[in-house]
Amino acid sequence: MAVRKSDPRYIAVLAVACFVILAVGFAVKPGAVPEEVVPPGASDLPQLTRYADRRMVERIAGHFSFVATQVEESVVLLAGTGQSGVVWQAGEVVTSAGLGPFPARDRTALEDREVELVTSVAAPHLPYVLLKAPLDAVVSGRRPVRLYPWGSWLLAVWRSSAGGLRYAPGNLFGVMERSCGEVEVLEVLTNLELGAAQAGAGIFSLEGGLIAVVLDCVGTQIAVEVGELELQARSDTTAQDLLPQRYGMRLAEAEQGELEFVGQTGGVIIRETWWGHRAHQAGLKPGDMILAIDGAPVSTLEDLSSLVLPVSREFFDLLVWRARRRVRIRLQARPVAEAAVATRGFVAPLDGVVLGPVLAGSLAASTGARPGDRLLMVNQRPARAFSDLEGAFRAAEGQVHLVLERHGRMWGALVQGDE
Amino acid sequence: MNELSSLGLILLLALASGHLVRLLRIPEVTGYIIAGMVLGPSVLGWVSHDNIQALEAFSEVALGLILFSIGGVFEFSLVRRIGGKIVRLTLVESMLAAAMVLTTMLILGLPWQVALLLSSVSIATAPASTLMVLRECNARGPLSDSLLGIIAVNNIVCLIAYLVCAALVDMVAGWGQQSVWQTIWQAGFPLVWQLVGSIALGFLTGLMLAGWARQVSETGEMLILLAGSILLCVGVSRIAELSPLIASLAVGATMVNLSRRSRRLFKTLEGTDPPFYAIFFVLAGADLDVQRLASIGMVGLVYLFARGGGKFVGAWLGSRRLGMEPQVQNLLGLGLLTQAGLAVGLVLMIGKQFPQYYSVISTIVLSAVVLYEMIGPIATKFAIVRSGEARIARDRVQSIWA
Repeated sequence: MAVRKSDPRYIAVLAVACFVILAVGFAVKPGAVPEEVVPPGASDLPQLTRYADRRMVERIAGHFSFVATQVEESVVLLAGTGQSGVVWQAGEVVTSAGLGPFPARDRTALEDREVELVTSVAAPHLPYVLLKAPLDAVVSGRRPVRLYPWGSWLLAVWRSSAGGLRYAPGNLFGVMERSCGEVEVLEVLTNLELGAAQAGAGIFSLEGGLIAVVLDCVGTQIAVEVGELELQARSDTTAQDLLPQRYGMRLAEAEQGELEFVGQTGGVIIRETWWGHRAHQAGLKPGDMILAIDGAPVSTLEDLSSLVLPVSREFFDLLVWRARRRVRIRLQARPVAEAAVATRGFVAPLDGVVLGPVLAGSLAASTGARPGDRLLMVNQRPARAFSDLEGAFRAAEGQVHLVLERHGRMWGALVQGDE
Repeated sequence: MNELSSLGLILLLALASGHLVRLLRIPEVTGYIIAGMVLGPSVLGWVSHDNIQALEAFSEVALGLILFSIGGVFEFSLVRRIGGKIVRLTLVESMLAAAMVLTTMLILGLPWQVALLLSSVSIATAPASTLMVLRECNARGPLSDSLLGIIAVNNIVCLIAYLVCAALVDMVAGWGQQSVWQTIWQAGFPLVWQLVGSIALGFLTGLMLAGWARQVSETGEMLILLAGSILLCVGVSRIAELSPLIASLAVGATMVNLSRRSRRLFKTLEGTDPPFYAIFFVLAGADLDVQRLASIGMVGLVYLFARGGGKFVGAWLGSRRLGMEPQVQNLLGLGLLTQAGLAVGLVLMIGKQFPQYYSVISTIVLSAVVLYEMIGPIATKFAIVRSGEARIARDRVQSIWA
């Protein structure tokens, strides 16, 4: 072989020459000719504008999705009621109370396990329910609505009945004070369409702060500002405030007229009970006078303080005075799992008489009655027809006791009979 | 189907089709290509375009190895003995084929640019399938030596012809738009760069390979060294826009002249590279669009016969004038019909450089390639067997796995 036997210097020179060829060639190689950029013409501008708009909307939609994912852990599905709940603080979930009594327990799926939630605050006069749960979910910071100018973007986030995350964007239009039954709340006005599917949903700002919770306000879903809600939730601390939450009844020391009516010299009278709650399930009625608890005589509200103290017992024995007779009542000390009056979700209609128009300034109006309310009892006997009321007023020498009902709230009223 | 399962399927079906075609006495290469066509997107679709793209690296390595093997024919002793004849023979057959195609295409009324580019593409002869047939037949003799030499030189000639034609078309199109020097520089640089740069890169890679091979004694290590060098060479060619074909050819040529171990290396390669080749040919088959055959048309058929006729007459005329053996004179043309990789590559290049001519050229060339790839290896094998240079080993298929 000529080259194999040749001087290695030739090969080295060849190699260097090859290097030089490659290096120089690579350096001077003409680059790819850049494609000519044609500036857009006037006819292209509307299309470009639409394209830019579309890209902007896509980016905004992408951001909504991002925010929803950020707050995902603080919105849970309450499997029992099928509505959403928002983690209020560690171990506590807030949701909408709805029209009926809220179940004492509910459950939610957390990753791969099921978690039980126990109702801690629920009352017919409250549009919300607080539930306690062993949740370590991340709590979205609560933000007062006043921090956000009108027109700000908001995001309603809730869970579908299958547990999937749902969200809808909207704008803040302002706030309005509103009465939800007996509770004053601050409604956050938005252009979000809120229906039963959104009950218990959280309304978040684009930074992920919780601004409002969607609650049922006398049959309408509204966004309730969290600051107001918090004040409401924490203000009920006295025994008199706690009794409605625990047992669904309101008590008061009987006034003179009431004492005369029931024929007693002193005691505590039931002013209100709420449909489906413990007091109602035990059979307590407005107008009942509690004479004794567990054998101990009751003359003031303090005598009933055991009702709101932590207890380990199953029930309390109450002795009540009703229609000039002593009646023994057994009141459950712990939350009842289901409303006993419901059969597989169907609820028996209340008896009584539906009231027609109520004249303003009349005696009827002084009882708090409104058209459409139901008259359940007259003088502690069931009202079956409007004539029962007329008869009671004709026969009465003194006062007539009425039990009226509206949205599950049953209250007693003592009115003057015909003289 | 994912890449691994399609790779497995390719290997097994290549083996099975290799067995099958032996019964029909046609080359294994044809079996691989037909298996690829059947598996490919145009028929069964088991190997998709995505699979083909994902497995492209295998094809690159295989083509690099094939060209490296062919580069082995540039041994100085052989070059001195038959080099001059081979170059002249290649020029005659190439130019005659190109002239036939150019004339017929112009007669058919195609634009001169299309006719010129088509004529340059028509020069290409597929080295891979020709080499595979020669190896399958274990061919030794003047016809085989001439064939090997021609397919090595042919591809260089084809590339130069294409670059000259492309530069001409480019220059005429760009005349007056920029300075004369600029036009010549932009059109002529790729010609010089691809030729000289590729040879320089191949020489440097071959030099590294030859130097390192002295330190390596085990066959396995030798193969790693070879595969690594070829991959590097092909990869750098792509980056620097050089011709991987010429560069790989130059690696083989450098290696065979500088390393005493080159013969052993080429032998080792012959025993171990068949799986790569099987993948290469099945993928090449899968990439062929059988449905294009329907669109071949009158022009395509004329191209087919003009090129084939040009090659055949050119080889006969050239070898006769050079006083070569009678079997070479009569049969060499049959061995030059194959056309594949380089032709397809040039069509793709035309697509980038002259998109206005792409559709007509691709329809003609790609449909012709489908036919040439089926007929070509059969014709080559016929020529080798007819010349009496074939010494077909009985255990060819089993030896792949030995």
